[in-house]
Amino acid sequence: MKTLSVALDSNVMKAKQSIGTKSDGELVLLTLDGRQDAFGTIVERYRSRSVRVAAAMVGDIELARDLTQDAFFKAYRALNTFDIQSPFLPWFYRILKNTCRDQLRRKGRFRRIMEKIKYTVVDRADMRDEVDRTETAVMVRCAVDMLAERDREIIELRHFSGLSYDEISQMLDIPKGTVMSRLHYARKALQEILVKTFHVKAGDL
Amino acid sequence: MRNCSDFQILITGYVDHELTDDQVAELKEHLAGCQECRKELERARIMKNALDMMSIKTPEDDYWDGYWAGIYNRCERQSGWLFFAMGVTVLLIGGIITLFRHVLFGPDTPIWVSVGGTAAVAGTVILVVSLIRERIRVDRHERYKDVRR
Repeated sequence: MKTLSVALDSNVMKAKQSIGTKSDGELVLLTLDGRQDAFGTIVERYRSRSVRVAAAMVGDIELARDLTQDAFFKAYRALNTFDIQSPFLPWFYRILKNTCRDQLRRKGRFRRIMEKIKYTVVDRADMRDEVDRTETAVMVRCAVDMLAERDREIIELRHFSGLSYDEISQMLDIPKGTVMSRLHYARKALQEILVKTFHVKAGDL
Repeated sequence: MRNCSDFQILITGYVDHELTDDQVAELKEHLAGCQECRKELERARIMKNALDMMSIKTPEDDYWDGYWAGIYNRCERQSGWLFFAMGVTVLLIGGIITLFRHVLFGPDTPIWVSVGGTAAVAGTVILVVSLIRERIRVDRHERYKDVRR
């Protein structure tokens, strides 16, 4: 009996291991075939990245948890419309982005910015005092919010969510070089806003 | 042959530690002879540091407790809502039919009850349809719906 149980456990482990190594497309197919654990693997694969992306957009890590759960649920429901030939992450990112946008529409601009600052300012002993840090954060956050959607998106993904170029490239389905150039132009645009609107030079930050 | 604009894009990757060794070597060679790009490197570093200050704090490990269950519960709840909606629809249709057949137009119903009841039901239907139509129209023609608030 004990041998049977060990054998079963070992089979379960093997199944789990094999499912963990499958591609997103294969996992989607398995999910459509009724294997919920396959979708669980997709969730586990992308939940951390998704939460950071959502938190950067809505400025609240707890709300981000709810919103990513909503987004995964929406993705699960819409899985039969997903084109199996295309990558999963950009498709899911669009769902997540729309879910976060719906949430943002319900909030006022000022409240949204203040919340983002509250949750994103990182404690750093080597930086200036709290007030200075918060002032800079408010200014930078406001300037980022004034950027065009395309520029704001890449800044949020890189700096607020802390994604690598590879991760951003997968998420937006663009080459790594494009990530770099988009970031370059976005930072330039941000610098221009800081100078023109906030009268701040790069050295003052 | 790269020009300064190309190298300034590489500077972005350089401050983010995302360049290959070859790209770093090429950039450093250019920086050695280009003062403008060296200034750009300084500006890029300052901007990166200011932006990195805004990074999201990494959630604690217990943040993920019950995460998958939350998604699973949403699936379960959806079935619940579906059955609930179906039940309410059946009850509503049945109720309206019963109301008309047995109450408003029953054999012993006075004429004023039939007329008043029919008018009230018709009024409710018109109001609901009108509200729904207005909602749809507002959503379609909302001028600022794409403006990020």
